[in-house]
Amino acid sequence: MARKKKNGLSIAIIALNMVIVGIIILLIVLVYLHMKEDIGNERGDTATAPAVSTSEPVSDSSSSASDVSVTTPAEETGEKSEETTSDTEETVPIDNLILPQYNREFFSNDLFIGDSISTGLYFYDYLDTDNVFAEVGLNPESALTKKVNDVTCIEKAAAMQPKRIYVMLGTNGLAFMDVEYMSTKLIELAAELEMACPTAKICIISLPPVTQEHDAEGNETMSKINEYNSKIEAICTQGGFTYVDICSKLKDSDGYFSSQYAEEDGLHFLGTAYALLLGTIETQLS
Amino acid sequence: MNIKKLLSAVLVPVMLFTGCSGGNEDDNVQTADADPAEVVSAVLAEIPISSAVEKGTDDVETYYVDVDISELDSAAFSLCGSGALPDEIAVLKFKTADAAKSAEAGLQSKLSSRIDVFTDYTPDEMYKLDTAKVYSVGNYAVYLALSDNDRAKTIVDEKLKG
Repeated sequence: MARKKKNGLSIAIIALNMVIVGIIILLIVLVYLHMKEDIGNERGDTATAPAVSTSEPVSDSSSSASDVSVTTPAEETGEKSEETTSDTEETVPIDNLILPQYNREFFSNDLFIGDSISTGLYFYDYLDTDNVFAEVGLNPESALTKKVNDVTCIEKAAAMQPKRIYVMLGTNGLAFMDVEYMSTKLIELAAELEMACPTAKICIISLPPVTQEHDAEGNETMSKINEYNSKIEAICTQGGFTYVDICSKLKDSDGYFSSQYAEEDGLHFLGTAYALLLGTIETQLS
Repeated sequence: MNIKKLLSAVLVPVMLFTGCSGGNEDDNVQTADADPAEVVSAVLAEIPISSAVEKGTDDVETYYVDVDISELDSAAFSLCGSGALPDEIAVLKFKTADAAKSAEAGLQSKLSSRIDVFTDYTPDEMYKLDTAKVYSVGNYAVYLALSDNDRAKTIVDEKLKG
């Protein structure tokens, strides 16, 4: 009787173990199938994700403008889109923008001083990094002391002794600085640059416009931009500096930043805007 | 005795089998010989950067000034060309794992400077820098400051660890 009980117990334990093994194998198969499905889905997502493109600089020393097209990236809302490339990007032939040609060599001994907008000059390969002193958030006040790679713009200019110095600053101060104060600081900066580089031509570039949508947010508005630009134009006339008006070139028929040149935030430049900026400067100074 | 033998016969393989399913991958990191440009492209295909510009080996010295490039093999990186956003990805391949590990400090310095300038500039975008990842895997040093850094790291690691 006891032996029978023992045998019954052992059979039950074996059966239990076999059930456990079966469950484990079943789980492994399920996990494997789930993972396989996930990988398949990921591949599908990648295939339909929007492509990333880079605008090419227009230079008469390289390819002709007709060879180049500019891709306008679709707005990113932070949500992942599963739409195809053709649904999220708009390609605009660069010829339609009537961009002036520029010669990279023309700017080879020049220095640009600016904010995040000016960083695009070298990010997009329009100019070498040596020809640009730019930092996110820079304004006419902070430009006097802010160091980038351990030097201020004045120290960089003094060491470089450029042929021309271009200053495009002020957008970052519009939201919280008085226009009068900013223009005073801009004069101060221009004067220090003139002292550091007595042979250089100092050029003040107007602030670029903002889009109507950006204007409506109330921080950087066209009324403030126009007021500031009028002030710095007057400063240039009085101080013997050269004023370059890029603002009017970038406006649409309503007086706001044209969508052909504006980044999705309504403030920064698409690649095409740099070509226009450089072409405009070269045309004016030549 | 029979029961013990039977139990051993069934349970030992089960225990061994289940015991092998764990393990720490970091104990045995094996990197694949991946092209940095392909790794960056794979990430951008899923997590795009607005107005992205793509850069290569020759640009590293200019953009990552604190990174020692003496043992740099090849590199690819991408960032927002308009300067509006802090989005950035860099995959730097070095000749040795030690050089890659050393590059982490330079990339960390880059991240710190980006945090400095973007904190007041675009607070809404700071989550990309707050969750940024700087690390090395074998001969590769990686910088990720994107809208989904966890997912980006998974993609990079899949490519680098083979």
